[in-house]
Amino acid sequence: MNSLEKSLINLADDLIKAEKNSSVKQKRMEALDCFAKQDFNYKSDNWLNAKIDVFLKRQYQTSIKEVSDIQAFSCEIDNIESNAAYLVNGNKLINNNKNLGLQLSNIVDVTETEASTFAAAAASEDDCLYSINTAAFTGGFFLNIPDNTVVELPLQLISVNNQQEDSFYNIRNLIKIGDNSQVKIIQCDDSVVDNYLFINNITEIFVGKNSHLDLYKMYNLSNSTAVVNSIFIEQKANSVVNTYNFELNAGLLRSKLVSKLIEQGAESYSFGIYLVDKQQYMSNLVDVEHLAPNCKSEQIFKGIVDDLARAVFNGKIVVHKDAQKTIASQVNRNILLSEKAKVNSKPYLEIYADDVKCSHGTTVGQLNEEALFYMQARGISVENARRLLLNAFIGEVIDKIHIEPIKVRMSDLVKKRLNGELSKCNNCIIRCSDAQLNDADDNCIE
Amino acid sequence: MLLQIKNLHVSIEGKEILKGLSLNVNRGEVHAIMGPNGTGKSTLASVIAGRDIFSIDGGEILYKNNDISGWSVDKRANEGIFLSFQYPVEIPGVSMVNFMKTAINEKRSYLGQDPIPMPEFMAKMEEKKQLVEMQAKLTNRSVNEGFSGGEKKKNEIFQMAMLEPELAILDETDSGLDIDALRVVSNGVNKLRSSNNAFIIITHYQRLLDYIVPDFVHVLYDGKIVKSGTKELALELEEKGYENFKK
Amino acid sequence: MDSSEDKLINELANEEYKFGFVTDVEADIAPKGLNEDIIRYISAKKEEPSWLLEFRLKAYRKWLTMKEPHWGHLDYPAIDYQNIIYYAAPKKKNLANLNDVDPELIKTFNKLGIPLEEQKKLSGVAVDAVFDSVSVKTTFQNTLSKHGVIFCSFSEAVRNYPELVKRYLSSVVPIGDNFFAALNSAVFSDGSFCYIPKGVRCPIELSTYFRINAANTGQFERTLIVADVGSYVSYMEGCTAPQRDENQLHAAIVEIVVMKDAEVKYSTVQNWYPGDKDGKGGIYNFVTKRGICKGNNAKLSWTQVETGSAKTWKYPGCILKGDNSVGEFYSVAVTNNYQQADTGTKMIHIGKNTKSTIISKGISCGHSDNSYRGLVHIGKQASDSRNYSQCDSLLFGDKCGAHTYPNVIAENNSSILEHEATTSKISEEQLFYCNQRGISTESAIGLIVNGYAKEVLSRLPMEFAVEARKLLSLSLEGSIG
Repeated sequence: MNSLEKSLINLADDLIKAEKNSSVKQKRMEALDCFAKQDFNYKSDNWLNAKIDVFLKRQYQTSIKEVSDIQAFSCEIDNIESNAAYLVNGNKLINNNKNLGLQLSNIVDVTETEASTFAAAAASEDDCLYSINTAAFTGGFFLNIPDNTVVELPLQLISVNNQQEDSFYNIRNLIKIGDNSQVKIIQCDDSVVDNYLFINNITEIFVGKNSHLDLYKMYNLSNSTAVVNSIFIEQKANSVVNTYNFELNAGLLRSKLVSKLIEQGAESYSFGIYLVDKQQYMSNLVDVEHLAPNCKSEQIFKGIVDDLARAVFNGKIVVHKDAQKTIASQVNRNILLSEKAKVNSKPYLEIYADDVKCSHGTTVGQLNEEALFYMQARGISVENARRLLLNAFIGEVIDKIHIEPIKVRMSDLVKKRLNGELSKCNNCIIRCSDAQLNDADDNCIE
Repeated sequence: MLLQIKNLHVSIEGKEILKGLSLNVNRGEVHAIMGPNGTGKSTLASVIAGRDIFSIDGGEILYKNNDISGWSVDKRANEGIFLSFQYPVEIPGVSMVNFMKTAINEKRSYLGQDPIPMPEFMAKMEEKKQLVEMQAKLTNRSVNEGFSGGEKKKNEIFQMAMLEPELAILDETDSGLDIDALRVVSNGVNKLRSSNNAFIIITHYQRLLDYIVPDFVHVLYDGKIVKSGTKELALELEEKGYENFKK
Repeated sequence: MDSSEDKLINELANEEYKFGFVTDVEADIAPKGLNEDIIRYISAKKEEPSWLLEFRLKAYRKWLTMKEPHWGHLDYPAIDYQNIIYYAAPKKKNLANLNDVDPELIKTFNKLGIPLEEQKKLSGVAVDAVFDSVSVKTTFQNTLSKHGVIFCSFSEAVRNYPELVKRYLSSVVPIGDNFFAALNSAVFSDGSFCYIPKGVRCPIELSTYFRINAANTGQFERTLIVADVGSYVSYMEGCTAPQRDENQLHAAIVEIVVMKDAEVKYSTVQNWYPGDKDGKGGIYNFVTKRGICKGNNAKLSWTQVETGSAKTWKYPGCILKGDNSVGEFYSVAVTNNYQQADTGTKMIHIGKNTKSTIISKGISCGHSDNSYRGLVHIGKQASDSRNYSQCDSLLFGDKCGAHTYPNVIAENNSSILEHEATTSKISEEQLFYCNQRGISTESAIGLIVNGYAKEVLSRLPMEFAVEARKLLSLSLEGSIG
């Protein structure tokens, strides 16, 4: 048992003792039992988890620390009109908004009834990081949107670290959306200091009948940050959920999205981009479960992989027995820019109903040589032509964004990223000092 | 009488489309059914052919004096009912030759005849192709796959010629055809007209009736035939529009 | 859909497996179970050289350390490996003179449509007929030897061409490759061996016909094909088994070595007994098939029509080592009743400018599960390589499953990889159109399914294509509406 595992178990023990909510306490205990039986490592042969171990072997502090003052922070989206709430260092909620017409609080403060669906979607048995999250989460957003509520402004849920020590966070969010409601949520994690972080984040979302949810998730983190983010969504009849995943940078990123369409007419659309370079490692898992008839789902994930980086896409559409008239499609497209970049794509279809239209496609390739040549023949330099084509490749996903400032911000970031402007130093693209650069080099993974 | 439709009521998913339609067709006759979009023209064609997505709520269809409500689609076809589809479906990988041979032999087997000898079949294919001026080599083409709109319609008439039906229903066969194709298709139909068969021509425009001259013209409106007459009625319709025939 | 579908499904379920008879023939049968003594018994029966016995024992010891794989989308009770007979042979030996072959066997193969008599032989096809554990007769050997082509039973090859066998045996499928490959390497009884010399275009189709007859026996044959530089051969494989209530294990290995500029086409029509309508009995078809394109410009093409077996676990693969080499996989897999098939391919691109094509057509009916599982790996060195995969599934009825598990790995930036898959049912519009032309629903489905599978069927040699089409219609007959 390594010291991280030991300290996480100690933390969970303390949290269980202190837990006042009996149903949550029960869930924590079950999860801890489960965790004790699981191996706390990912030495599996699949690519997916290959680098999690590297990060898990580090030393992190896990105890809850008092929060000092925090800098204003808004996921660096300019001109966005939104209401923002912060979770600092995984435990302290700062919410200065008033009259939102909804309930926003720290998950550790929820009542018995509010916690009724807690841990209903994320099963501890599936993964040791799920079980330890349930057992030892220190905080997170609890969002409760009543029936018939339209939340006009996007809601930004920002998780920030300002601790100097290397830290391991278990953050747990629970979002309940009633019937006929509508909300846009922008989620991001960030750190105002550059130390090693391991963020283990689970979000459970329950969407009521006829409700609409847009969920934007942005990752623009330093190379010393590992994020394992898992989102579980359950959708009732005729609800529509759009999720957007923008993966610009992180030392390690495993993003998992599980959508369950449990009632008729639910629709789920997921879009993702990942730009991976240097020695980064990003993986996307998208799992869509069609459990009811007449539902629709679509996933488009596009990635550009450069240098020594690796990208993994594991998609799975499961159409259960009663889910007749399902329409589902999944697309994963990859461009490899360097000789040593690698991509692994597994788009699975499991189908048990006969009246369905399902398709998936995956491609790995390069920029279209003919298009490049054509552009050069029109006097455009190779570099610019490449950039234009890459922008166009990603553009299909950017165009799906419904919030204008995010669209602007993302296309700007993507452009900069593709121009190399964000690479201030070799190993890290944001707020990287020389000292930290050296440090990062020494600790370079793989 | 070849076909006798009495007070037919048809609905789909609870929505009533035909609301008491009656029609009599004798051998040797050509009937044109005209009417604006959405009045039930194509429904009528599909129901005669036996499409089971519609429910028959009342009335009856007598074909050669039989109530055919219990007949399967293929039985009706083998008894001589042919439908030229408005939108012929593509069947990838199934060659036209194989398709036609199967269709002809199933009919022959239904009639207690031996399968058609291959040379006779190939000669017949050639002959009927001429009839609709089909250029395509049918041996290696899949049913309707990669056919242009005009080719698809010609292909329908070609199949009609091959199968020699007693009652042929042409569902908007003229839609999407240029004047040359229209002429070819009409010529084909005219050559197939005889005292032993009958045609129901469903169309939106009078144009087709310049080439295939009908014995009777019916105006279908809101699920019922609101007026019947001779070919002059079609001209009147063209001139005055459907508005005058409402109620 | 309506009750006519149920009616048709019932009709199909009652469709007889036409090859389910048993031949009464005197047989040499090893005691049940597996241990080193049994392996020595098999080796001694076959009068094998000591190196081959050592090979078997090594494989057996490896096998003991391995676990049966269960990652497939297959569900079957644990196999008791000690309850299987590993060797059964008709008593009379394979001899050049047909008069020495047991007349019962000749009758059997006649019944299967594989005449062994010289005058009745399938025109243009040389057949190696394997009955239970041994090869009964190889036809056309004289014609072939004129061209220098070696085509004989595996046992004969061990006796007559030990150097060739030694050089290539397990060179593509190592003994420890997987659980079933290790088992086969330990106990394989017979099979076919084929060598096409440099520059020779094999003048006729070669074919192996496998027949399981004895009860409680496993069939573990091994096929080794070597196509030397610049040669060509088209090879076909067929198989049937009697109808029995218990499951029988078939764990074969096919290894193919394709040298520079050579081409091998390997076609399979797999029609092992699939079990009855309630899923009782049937063959467990757990096979390892792999070929290597060793030299530049080599080409290996797998075509399979899978309609039989209770459970299928099989992934014919190509290792594209030579530059510009080409690998192909064309498959139609039909599952009905309680059959389960987990099949697909592995394309391993190692050489530069290598190309692979995968066309897989799955058809699921009844309570069956039909899975495509494939790996395409384009390695670092395999620059400018290409893969195109297309995996389609058709579903009939709401009690079956169709699954697609592709795994795509790209490790260089000059290659292009494309994978597409669709799952659907036969469209109502197509059926209505056919019905309206007087074609019954049953014939219409036959037409549409054959059209759907055309891309694959058209790859089969003429002799096989007809059989495959019939089989496909038979497997589907009455299944759907």
